[in-house]
Amino acid sequence: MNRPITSSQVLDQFAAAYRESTAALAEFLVKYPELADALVDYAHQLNLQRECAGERSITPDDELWIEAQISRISAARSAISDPFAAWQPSQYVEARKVLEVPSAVLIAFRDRLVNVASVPVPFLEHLAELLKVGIADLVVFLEGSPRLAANSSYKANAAPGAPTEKIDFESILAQAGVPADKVSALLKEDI
Amino acid sequence: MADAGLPLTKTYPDGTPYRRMPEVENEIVNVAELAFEDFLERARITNRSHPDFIRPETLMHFLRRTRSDNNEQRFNALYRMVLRRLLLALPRSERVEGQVVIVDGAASDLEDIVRGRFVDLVTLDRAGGDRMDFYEVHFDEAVAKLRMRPAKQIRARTRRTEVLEGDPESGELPEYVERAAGSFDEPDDAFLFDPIFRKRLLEEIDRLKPEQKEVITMLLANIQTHSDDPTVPTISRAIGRDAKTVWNRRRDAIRALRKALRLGEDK
Repeated sequence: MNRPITSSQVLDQFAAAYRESTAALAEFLVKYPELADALVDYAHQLNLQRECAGERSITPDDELWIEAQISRISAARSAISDPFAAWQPSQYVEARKVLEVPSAVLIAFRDRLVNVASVPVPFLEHLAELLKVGIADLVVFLEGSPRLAANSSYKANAAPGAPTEKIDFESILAQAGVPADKVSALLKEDI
Repeated sequence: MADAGLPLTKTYPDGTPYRRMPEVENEIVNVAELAFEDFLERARITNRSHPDFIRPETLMHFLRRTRSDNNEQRFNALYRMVLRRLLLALPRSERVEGQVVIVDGAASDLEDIVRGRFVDLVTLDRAGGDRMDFYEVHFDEAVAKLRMRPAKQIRARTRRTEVLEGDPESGELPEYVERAAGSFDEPDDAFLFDPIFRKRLLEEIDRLKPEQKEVITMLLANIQTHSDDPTVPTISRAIGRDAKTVWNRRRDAIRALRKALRLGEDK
């Protein structure tokens, strides 16, 4: 899938050029006037970064924070919990409104059909917030194999199996009938 | 250790793929030969001038490679090293003045957000995708980018609560502040390019109003205020304002910076 070029990629290229010469700011402002705010902001952050390089050392508090992150991710991976398990119908309704997506999209997340790597961070942040879990917990859950919902019913003689392939977020949105302009908005990543 | 680096898949707007620096590619090949314990021993070295220092871009590469080996212990060991490099890439949120350590609350909040976002990104990146390719290209610059959005939000919030406000109607600073900053005259901007002030200056630029901050950041990159030649990049063109507006913002920003840096009396 060919994703459109994002401002993030422009900023990455700018940062690489700015390392060589601050004249890159003028060049990029001419080339991408619509990104002037972001380019100037980034130039400032790069100046700060350059100036502050090497001034800091790792403190005992830092080490504690690092160990806490290791424990947190290990715990999330060793005891994967289903953040949708306790969700009531009213919460699906609320999520549909807040996230501006049809139910089918939320079901795809619940059933782990979505390829989590293809989901933009802002959408994941909002969903995690609604589910009252951290992003890490949500991601670890979504990384699991696709599943059939426990309460699904079927009429065929043989029970249907869970799908084996994950689907990209963009395809899920298209299959759920989300209009193209809305899809573009939902696919927007943070800078 | 695993073998050397796979190409990155993300591309720049012109279609060229993201590429690691040659020194990173070489380092990946060299450290790939090491036993994992020896690699970790070297990864603990954080002094960039040490001959055994391993670049953060290289550490990120090996961290991301654990996607395929599913080895939790290896991931955790590498993650620990990468998180240390993240912290080392962040500007400090406190400064020492004499005997006193001053913690900048806004900078501290910003650091917390950046730490959290980095952790989330690593978790997500482990599921696949090219979201963190740039961390293998220029790690420090990628961390700087992570600061952009929260920095803007936090500064906006801080500005609303700052005590020293100007007249809410006119936006002008009180006269005694203007006088202290020597601001009834053309302000001297030589300090902008003085290395002695550089670090404090950048911190204070962070506190300026957004429209002043953008003008000063462009001045620091030697972009002209105005030019009659339409091919010359200018601040005026970049922000879509006339030369007078740019000059006014420049003047106000310099006054505010001189005051913050206590350069008021010696214009």
